[in-house]
Amino acid sequence: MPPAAHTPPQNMAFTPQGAPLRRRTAPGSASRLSASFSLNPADSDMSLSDMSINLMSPSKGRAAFLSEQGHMGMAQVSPRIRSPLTRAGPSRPPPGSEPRPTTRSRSRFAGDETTEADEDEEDEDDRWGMIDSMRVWRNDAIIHHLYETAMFWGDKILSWTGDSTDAFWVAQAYFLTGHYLQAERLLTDPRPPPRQRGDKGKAKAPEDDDDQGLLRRLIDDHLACRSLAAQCLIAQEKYHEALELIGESNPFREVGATSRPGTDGVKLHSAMCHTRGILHLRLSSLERAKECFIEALIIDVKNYDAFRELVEGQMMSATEEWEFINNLAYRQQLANEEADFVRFMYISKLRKDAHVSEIAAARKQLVETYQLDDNCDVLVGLAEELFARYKWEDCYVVTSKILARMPGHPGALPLHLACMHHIPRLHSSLFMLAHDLVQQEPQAASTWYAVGLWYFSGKRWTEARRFFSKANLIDSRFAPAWITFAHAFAWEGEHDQAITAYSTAARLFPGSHLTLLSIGQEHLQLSQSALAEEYFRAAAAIHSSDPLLLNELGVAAYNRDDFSAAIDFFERAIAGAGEMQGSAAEWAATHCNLGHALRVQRRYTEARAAYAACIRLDPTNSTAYASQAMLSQLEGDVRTAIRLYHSALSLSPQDPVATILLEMALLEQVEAHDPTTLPGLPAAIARTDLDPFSVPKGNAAFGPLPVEADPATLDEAGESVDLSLSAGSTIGTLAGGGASTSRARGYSISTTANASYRTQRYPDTTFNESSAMDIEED
Amino acid sequence: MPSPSPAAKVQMAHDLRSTIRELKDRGLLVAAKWANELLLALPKEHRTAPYLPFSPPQHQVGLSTPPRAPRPSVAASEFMPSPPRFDMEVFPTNAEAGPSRARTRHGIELEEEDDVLDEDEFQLAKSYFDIHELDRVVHTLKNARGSRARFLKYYAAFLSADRKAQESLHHFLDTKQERLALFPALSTILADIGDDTEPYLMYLRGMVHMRLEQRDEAIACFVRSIRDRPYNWSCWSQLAQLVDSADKFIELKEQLPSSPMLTFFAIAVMLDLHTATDLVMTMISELQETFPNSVHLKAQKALVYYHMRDFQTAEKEFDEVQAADPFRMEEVDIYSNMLYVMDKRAKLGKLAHEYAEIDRNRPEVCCLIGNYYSSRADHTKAITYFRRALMFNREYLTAWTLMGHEFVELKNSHAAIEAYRKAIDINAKDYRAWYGLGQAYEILDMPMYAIEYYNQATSLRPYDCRMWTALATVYEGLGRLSDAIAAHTRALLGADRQQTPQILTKLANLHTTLDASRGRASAEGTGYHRKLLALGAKDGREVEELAASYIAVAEWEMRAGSASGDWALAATYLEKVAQSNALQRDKAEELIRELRMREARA
Repeated sequence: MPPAAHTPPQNMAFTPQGAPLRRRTAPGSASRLSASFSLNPADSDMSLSDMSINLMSPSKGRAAFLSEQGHMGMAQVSPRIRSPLTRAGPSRPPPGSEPRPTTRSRSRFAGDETTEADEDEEDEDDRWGMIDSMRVWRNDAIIHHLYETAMFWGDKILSWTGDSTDAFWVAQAYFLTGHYLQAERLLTDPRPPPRQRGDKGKAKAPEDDDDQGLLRRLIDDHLACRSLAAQCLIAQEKYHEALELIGESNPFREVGATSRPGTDGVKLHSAMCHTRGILHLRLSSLERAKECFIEALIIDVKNYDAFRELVEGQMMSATEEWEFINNLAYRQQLANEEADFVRFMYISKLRKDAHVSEIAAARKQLVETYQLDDNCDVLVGLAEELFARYKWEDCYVVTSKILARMPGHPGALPLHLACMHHIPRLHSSLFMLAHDLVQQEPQAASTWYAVGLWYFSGKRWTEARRFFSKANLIDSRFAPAWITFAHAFAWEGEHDQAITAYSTAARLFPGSHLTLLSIGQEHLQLSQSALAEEYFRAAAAIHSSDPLLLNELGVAAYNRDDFSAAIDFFERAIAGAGEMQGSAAEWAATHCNLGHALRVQRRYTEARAAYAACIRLDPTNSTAYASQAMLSQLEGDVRTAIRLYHSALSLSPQDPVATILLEMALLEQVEAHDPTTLPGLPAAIARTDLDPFSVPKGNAAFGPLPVEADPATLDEAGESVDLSLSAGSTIGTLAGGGASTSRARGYSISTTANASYRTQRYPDTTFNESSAMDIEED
Repeated sequence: MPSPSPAAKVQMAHDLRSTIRELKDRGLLVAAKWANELLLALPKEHRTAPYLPFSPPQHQVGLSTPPRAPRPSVAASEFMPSPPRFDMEVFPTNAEAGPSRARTRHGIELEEEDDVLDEDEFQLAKSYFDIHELDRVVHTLKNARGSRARFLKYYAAFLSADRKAQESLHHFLDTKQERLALFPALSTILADIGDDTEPYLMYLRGMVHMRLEQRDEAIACFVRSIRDRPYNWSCWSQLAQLVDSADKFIELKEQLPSSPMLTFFAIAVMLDLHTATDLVMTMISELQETFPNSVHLKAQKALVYYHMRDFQTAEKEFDEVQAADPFRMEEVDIYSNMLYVMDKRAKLGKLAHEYAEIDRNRPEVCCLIGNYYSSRADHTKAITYFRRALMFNREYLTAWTLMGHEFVELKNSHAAIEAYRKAIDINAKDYRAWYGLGQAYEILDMPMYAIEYYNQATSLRPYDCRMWTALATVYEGLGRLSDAIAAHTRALLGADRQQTPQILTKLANLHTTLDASRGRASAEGTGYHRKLLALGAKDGREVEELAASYIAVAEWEMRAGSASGDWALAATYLEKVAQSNALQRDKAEELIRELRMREARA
């Protein structure tokens, strides 16, 4: 590809392809350096690390493409071509001719370099040899974290050459050691012309001197320097200045997308977009930050930093995210296999509340095709999925595995902590872990999140909030701490404050429907159903299939008396929960809600089934019992209703509704029933026209009735009726004495008659009358 | 039911022995104790007789084992000696044909292969179990595969969950907290056991279902377990707790193998349902022929007498039980209840001291001591002891009810209500708890609730005078006289000689009041007065006591007019009253004067 194709016509300051002018003038390595800088010197990070791999295992086949890349990046930045050290492996071309054999892999530069090769040869002399080897010292020192060394020798080189590349490396060393101001100064101060030692001045582009005069800033010439300067400013929290430096938006937008698959590392433009996004984030303009990250990812799909900000920072809604990540230009930018791999990797890290099966399939691919079954990031994907299904125990197992391999894994740790919060038996371990984290990583947001969570588990809301806000001070983009901070208010019953806190979280994480959902829930708690529903709708716009959200929508619909809509929502929620294959017990309340809606619609049978489902899932749900009781009462089965109200009240004795309903039911029962209509009474005793003197006593199931009292008593009393009647009718005006004697006689006869009757009926029963007579119950 | 043949008894002894070993292995100590007692209750000649399994007993007692489900085939079976299980499955009826088969059939001599494999782990776990390191048992056996080891594991988990749930309670009457603490753990255990049909695991499943208040599932599990292992008394007694009506019992009886154990069960159920009768007595006597040395049966007999309110005989029986086995503590709580009711304080005190000496850490003994303190009106101390009893056994019905009574004594109705509710949660058949609840609500002046609970009590004890009287009183308080009358009428059915006249008086008065409100004379009221008079005459009561009835009847006869009214009778009655020292003498004399005047006019 001819260089002209992607070389902007002019511009020294923001040339994506590098300054052809300088390239022409700069000799040898310097020219190649500047080219690489202007093209994509952000490689420097990448290539450094790659280089170190390369150094340690120069001939490992597996790292072949890595070494290729590292080699390439390093070759671009380092002046090693001159050095006798050919550590980069056997494939490394001989010094001087370095670019040429690799032209196939770096066709993009090939044109440039071949044109410059002649010049390289011309300007070669022995002093270059010394500077070049010092450059090697410098770069090796950086690799080996000997920053002082790097700065020391780099400074000397810079003094000699005044070259922008050398300045860049010194600034890099400053940056890495945290001397941000120095780095910034070096990059932004107008540089005096280099002290020329001999004809070293030739190293500087004569055109620069001629055209721009002596005072030129590095950042004006080199994009990489500009980027580094911006990083320095960010590190010093001078965000506005940084943004000024780097520009509010990408000036290379129209050319940024041009690239070919599989040829290069991570693009500087993409990195700069990412930096810009970070700046916008810091300056709280989230929309622009999001645009920047999106742009960064479009320019280079490999830019995981941008991906992470977008996805883990929940800047996009679930659907938006899904669409965007799926439609990135993998194929255009990467080779086939790489494209697939990157795509699967990204998909596996997407939010787990929709497209669960696709995500699981992507993870399966990663495990099976790419043998990444032990990779922490892939495992985090699994853990997230389990967490989204409320499978705390399983998730905990996975996160424990990840953390054992990689302590403090940023993806796994918050999940791990959340699981520990959800499993009561692990609360002590949570305490221990928080303790350890405070000792090991007092500067990490997740550490203080862990501490806050420990207090949260113990329902000590104030302390919990203190530590959550500490976590947020450390990292304002740490979503879990924001949400739990708000949760702490909500749990404490401080609904207004909770709403404020959730709103903050919602502003910071616009892609999260959970915050909106929570705001809605708080409004519901405050009986502002209409307002709540608006929030639920907003949440539904982000993620409409969340069962929890559907449940809340159902509640809102129920509150405005739209019961059929409510039923619809609840049913969808339950169906959605079923698809999640998570623990079904979490959805007991939804079943109960469904029951309520059905009950209001007079669909009693279905309502009963819904309540039964609720009780099956959660046997401690008193509302479900009370509602079942209501159904029974509505259907006229007061006795069952009373029994069920009792079940409800035994679970929550203070429930005012159930108490009132029970009293109503009891009253109804007393009105409607008399003591004879009890279930369980023997038929004989339940007769309304019962004559106690003619009841054949006994329960057929068990034989004769238990005799506690003297049964003859009744018979005796019963007999007297007939007797007195007969006395009245027959004896007439007889004197009292005669009547009493005849009564006595009549009595004795009738008793025997009755006794024989008894013996006929219960042949094997013998009554112990006398003993029963004596008993006095307390 | 005829007494089993000698051969069947030998078989029974053998089965008992093997079951005892299985129970002991599984930590089911109460059941093992019971089975061992039963074994010793067999006559010695049957116990010592050689067991000849190849001569099949004529009467197979209670071991109609259904063919076992095929064991899951494991790798172990390839190198372990395999029991002849094929034969068993194909020819279950011929199972006794050879010694080895008979052994496998009862599953002891030849343990399951898996059990043999993890024998060492199992023994270790058993040691932990014996010293109550329950979680350690679970941990040790986490990979166990043998049914015996798995049972021990789940059983330990069950006990541990139960203990933790109780310890997590802030207040010991907090039902909701208890459920919240217990249910998740139990659901996990249930899920872990799965669909295993091994008899002891079935029993454990039943227990878990029971704690989860899934009664039907629990019953199904217990029945299946019993069919395989009929000598597991714990299983029977848990099942007995679940029988809530006579109909349920009859239904269950169909499903269970007929055996002496079923009779034991029937006795327990009938005692529980308060339907103790002479039929039960007959059953006990029959069993005593088979198990002549059984102290358990003796105690059951005492219980039956107690339930029949034959307290004297019951006391005699209890004393005999104590003489036969002075260290037996099982029914001593009921004995103490009875002594309390009989107001035999001295004997109660003696008993309390004797048993406190033996072991204060038995719920029954705690209950006895609680009763003792209650009899001395030291209610706070009594409650302490009932609570102590409940610490040892939270499902201990008697203690809950008695504690409720004590709270009533202390005028703490709310605590009483909680205690009674607990008792009802454990066993809804406990009429005393229902009655107590009714009383407590009556004290709280909540008549609707009182009616509901008295209603429950009456439906459990349809012939119990006290329940109906209490119910009638509440209705009376509400001014619902006809309902009160209906209730009193039913109270009459179970009333004794002291109660009957009182109830009759009430009925007479109620009818009179009711009719008076309707502006007419009361025929029914007079009828009851007549009955009162008849009864009074029979019992030989003084005229003074019956004066009101005499006058009422006389007034009725006078009102009816000379044609239909029996003025002569009226005159007789009035004379009687007038000649007595009754309060109504003046009124009687006045009425006599009126009667004379009317006679003169007529």
